[in-house]
Amino acid sequence: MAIFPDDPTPDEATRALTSIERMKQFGLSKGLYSRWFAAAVSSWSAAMAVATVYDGPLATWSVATLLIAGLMALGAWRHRAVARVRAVHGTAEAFAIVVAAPLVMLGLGLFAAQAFDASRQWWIPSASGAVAALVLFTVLELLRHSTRRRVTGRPS
Amino acid sequence: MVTVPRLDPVIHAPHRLHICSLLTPLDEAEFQMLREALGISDSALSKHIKQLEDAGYLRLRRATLNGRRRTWAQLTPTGRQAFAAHVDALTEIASLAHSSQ
Repeated sequence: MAIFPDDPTPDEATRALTSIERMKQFGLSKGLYSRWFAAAVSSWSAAMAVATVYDGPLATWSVATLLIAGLMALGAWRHRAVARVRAVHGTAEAFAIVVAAPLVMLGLGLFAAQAFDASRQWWIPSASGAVAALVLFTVLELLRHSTRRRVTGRPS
Repeated sequence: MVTVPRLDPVIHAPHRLHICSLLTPLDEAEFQMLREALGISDSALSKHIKQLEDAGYLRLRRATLNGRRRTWAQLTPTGRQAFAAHVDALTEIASLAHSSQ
């Protein structure tokens, strides 16, 4: 490990700043969810959307099982977490997370369920799942990038 | 006359500088993660954390989950300010290299 003297020269100060940046990136990598996590959550939401819209004989059980499995996985993930990243969202992002994204998902689910009831087209549940996954993955990735940019001043 | 930027002696020690750097982007981090990131012993880390705590730069939170005791460290607002000022001072010193060239 580098030693930083009390009165560092410009070169030593530069080395200290590099070292600070490296540690910040490391901390962020431990605290911020990965792209794989975003993909897993999006896949889960796709499965939820398909099960909800399809409304087959075991739909209620499928949704309940998926919901419980999802909550358990989230609990396990939080339990294993060794760092929590600072939430530094602007008003627009907070609005997107709390209001817009859930409303879009709910609207999409209702629209797809009505469309499926009316037409019984097999592709509607799958398409709603794909759209739900895409919307959620996009929101999660945008949040990940903006958090990284705000915290470190760099894109990921 | 050139004014030399003032560095914070509590933060400037390498391990404490790294602890603060690690905690800056985070709300809190577990003690064990800090120890592994820094590659130092429990006692050495505790000593550095105590110094940061005494300066009012860091606070600890102890929590037990499923029988497992975990200690979380977080920078206080004062600690964040002090660290930002320290980084500014280092940046200023580093920029002297460019201005003298």
